[in-house]
Amino acid sequence: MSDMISEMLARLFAAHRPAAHSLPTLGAALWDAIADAGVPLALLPEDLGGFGLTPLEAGAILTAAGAQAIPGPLADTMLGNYLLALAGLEPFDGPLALAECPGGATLARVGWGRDAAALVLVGPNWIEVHTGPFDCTPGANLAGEPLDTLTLTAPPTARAPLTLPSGTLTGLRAALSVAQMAGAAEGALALTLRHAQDREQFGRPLSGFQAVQHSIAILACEVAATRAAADMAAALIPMAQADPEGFLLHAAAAKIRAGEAAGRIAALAHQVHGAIGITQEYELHMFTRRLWAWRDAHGSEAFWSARLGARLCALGPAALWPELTRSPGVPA
Amino acid sequence: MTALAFAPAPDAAPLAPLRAEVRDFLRGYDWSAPERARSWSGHDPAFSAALGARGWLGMTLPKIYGGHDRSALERHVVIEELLAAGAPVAAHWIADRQSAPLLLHYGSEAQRRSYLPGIAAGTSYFCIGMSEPGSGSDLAAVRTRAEAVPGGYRVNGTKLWTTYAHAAHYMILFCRTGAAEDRHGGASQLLVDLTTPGIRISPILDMAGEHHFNEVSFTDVFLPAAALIGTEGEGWKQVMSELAFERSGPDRFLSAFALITELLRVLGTAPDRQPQRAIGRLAAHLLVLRHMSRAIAGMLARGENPALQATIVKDLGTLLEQEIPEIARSLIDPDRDPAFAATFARTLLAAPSFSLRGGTREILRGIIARGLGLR
Repeated sequence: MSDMISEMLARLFAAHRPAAHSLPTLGAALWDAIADAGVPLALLPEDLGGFGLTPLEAGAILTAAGAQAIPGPLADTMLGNYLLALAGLEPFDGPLALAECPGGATLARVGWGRDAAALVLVGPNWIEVHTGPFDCTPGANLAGEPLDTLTLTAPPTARAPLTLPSGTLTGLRAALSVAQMAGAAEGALALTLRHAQDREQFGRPLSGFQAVQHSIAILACEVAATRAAADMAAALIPMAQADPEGFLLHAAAAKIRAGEAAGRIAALAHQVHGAIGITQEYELHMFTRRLWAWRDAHGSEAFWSARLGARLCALGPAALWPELTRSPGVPA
Repeated sequence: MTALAFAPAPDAAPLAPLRAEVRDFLRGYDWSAPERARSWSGHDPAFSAALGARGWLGMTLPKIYGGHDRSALERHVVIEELLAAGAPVAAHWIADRQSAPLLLHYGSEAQRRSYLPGIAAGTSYFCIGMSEPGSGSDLAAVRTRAEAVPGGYRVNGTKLWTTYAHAAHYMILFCRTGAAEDRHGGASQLLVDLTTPGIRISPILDMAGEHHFNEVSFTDVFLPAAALIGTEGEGWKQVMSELAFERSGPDRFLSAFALITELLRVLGTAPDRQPQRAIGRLAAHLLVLRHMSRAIAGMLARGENPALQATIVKDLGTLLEQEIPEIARSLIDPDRDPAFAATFARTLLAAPSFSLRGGTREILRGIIARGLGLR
């Protein structure tokens, strides 16, 4: 990504950083700016109508948005458009909601369902676009982000074949959510650093105490691990169809590691902040509540670690190292 | 935040043929699990020489010094394959990891020509002369002194915890050459031939009963002026760059890998959910650490300085290494299987050292805090 684009996006996200006490809501002005910047098409390869970002760079956009607690379905819109393009359907400026094959017409826990210009519905070997109308029952996650129940009341406006191997959609969503978690992790670290340097107790800044320095060092290591996990998974998104097991190995690992980091980061950030950190008026909860909510979304650590572990156990000890070092898409 | 950023890990595809070559080579060896659990403490000069003959030591050194002009990424492939296989690499490990890059960067032309070819051949071994009885984490407190005398230096003092000094040919000695009150300014590095008169190497057994550590004392040891590495008085800066090499590799998260493979063997191919999850979690940590470690190798290959990133990976990596015996014993009774029990015991007894050697956890966290601007 050119420095110009990333600086432009960083400025855009900083300008739209929400107030600490506000509920996550999607303003039209913010989404228009996001769409104007091309974010909805960020995951599309150039030959499918994208503008040539690598998946790593698309992930970096989600990280930059996460670091400013930007509301809205950025990841689902990017991914929905990517899947539509793979199926040869027209992308949307969004915002898009994304859901997996329903048992019936009712879809539970659809992120930002109330705001969606369209719902992208993914089945075992097809993809559909629904533009409504929907019956919407509002809900929310731990961070107050909309997580709605949608009931389809009209047939799809577009449908095409698309084959995603089992588990791949959840893996793709997990990979992008780790990129967002990396942003929230950075947001929490930045606030913690500022607080430790500004807040004085016993006649000196908190950052002067070695115990506090070490807590923040641990926090920073976990942030670095989350960023690395995000990069690792995002880079392999183009392999998801061709080498699903290779992709899922890394997506699962990224989500497990980021989930564990999220718990430590939130705990340490709150510990360093003291009481101000748990108030509604202070910004920290925008990041820690998102970390907690996203930790369990798109496959919790329990889900992914059982899947990953079952596979590695089945392969046996001699295959462990070759499996950990295999590069998806590269012949062993 | 940028100081903590890791560059994207490099493309693995061009490295696949080298990885396959190393695996082929390693298939010719059959180390038991407890032997593999020695990790990079296993000492076998014949194996080191065989690696040298294959061109897998001193890989990044220029050919004129016996090296192979290969990239830091190619070296990373070789060393992680050796560590995962539990190969006995201790004889050459320190020389290849940190002495060679230090000599290449700071050494004189004569030193490079004299010492680097032996390192690349796997026949010339080095040890680290940093810690002392009164100077562990506080490296700037070293008291060993090299006094200028006609034609060189006279060295007096004692080095401690010197791993494999008894099997090494040379030591890179960090010592005081300037005023005692100048903590960082008065230090230098000297290349010491360990057969020089006046040097006494005494064993210190570790709690497993093994001989890795030594005390190395210097009594009026004469070193020629040509023993100086780099610049007199610049030793602190030089030793910090040496430590960056010491901290940057996969040896900081693969030390307990043999126990993981043993755990998989004993658990069998279809264990319950709880062990499955534990294995999945371990694999997740390893994959992310490896990604970070490859990113560091990529930074080295581009000539960047990844000292802070290396510190982060060492802290995260040793935390995981030390947790592995805890996870193992939570899943199976260590006494259930003799090979597992021996591997478990060896890893357990080595584990406390993981977060001591190469800089204690507390020192690392201080460095990270400084990198964050907190001190």
